[in-house]
Amino acid sequence: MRQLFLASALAVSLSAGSIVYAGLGHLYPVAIYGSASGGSAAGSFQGAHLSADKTNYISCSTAQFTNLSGVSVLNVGCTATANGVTRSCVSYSPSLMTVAALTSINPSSYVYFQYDARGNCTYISVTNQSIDDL
Amino acid sequence: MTRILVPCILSLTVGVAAGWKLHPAAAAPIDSKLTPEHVLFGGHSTPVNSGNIDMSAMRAMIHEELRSALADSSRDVPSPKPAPKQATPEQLAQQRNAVETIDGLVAGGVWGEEQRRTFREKLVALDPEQREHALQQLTTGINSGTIRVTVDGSPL
Repeated sequence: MRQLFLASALAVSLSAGSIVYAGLGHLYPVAIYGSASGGSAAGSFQGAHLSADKTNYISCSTAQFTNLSGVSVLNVGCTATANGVTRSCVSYSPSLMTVAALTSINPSSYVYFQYDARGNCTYISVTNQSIDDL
Repeated sequence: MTRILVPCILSLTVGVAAGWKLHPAAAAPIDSKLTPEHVLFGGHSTPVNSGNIDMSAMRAMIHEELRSALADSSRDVPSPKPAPKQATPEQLAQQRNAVETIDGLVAGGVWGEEQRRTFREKLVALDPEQREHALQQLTTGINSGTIRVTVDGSPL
């Protein structure tokens, strides 16, 4: 009886370990391409979080504030780190579509951005996905 | 021969009559009292020297019409954006202080919580060009590795 119980428990734990989570985004860790004078960075938030590289990181942020002259200012920026190398960029006049895309970022998002030698964002892409293929 | 001649005369008569009816002079007989000023300006009373147009009066009227037309069209053009307000001496002093502080932060080579907080505080004092320059200093410093990011989260 005891042997049967142990075998059943083992079977349950093995099957639990093989559960497939449908719809989970692919875990792309953050990767950086190019040099300081221009390049790109990409990765998913889950990938960065679960990466073995503890510096793996990606973020995009929007900032709106009123300066001392009473003028409203809107900036967006993205930053990525992989293997201790960080790349960052800023867009000084983002379109509303860009702002909307960045504010839609969630844990399953995949972000790609390009930067130039002056640290300008020349390309920002946000993909919100439910499947494991991009 | 008579059979051919009768329809020809009939057609000619009808054609001439229709042509006369369609002629403008026939459709709207000219009022012999109309002057060139009536035709040009819609019958406004003007000092008319009948048979001899007063050219200086006509020029003056044309100028006046053109001037009023141009005034109307200029009202449709959107007014240019007001020039940005001049910074007050106090604001200029704050800008200088902000620029110096940000230069110091960037030169420090480390970007932690304190640097990010101070940077954000000083950013609001800058004019658009200064702000863009400050953000470029930060991003190019990060990208080239002269600024080491230690902050937890976005450095911006």
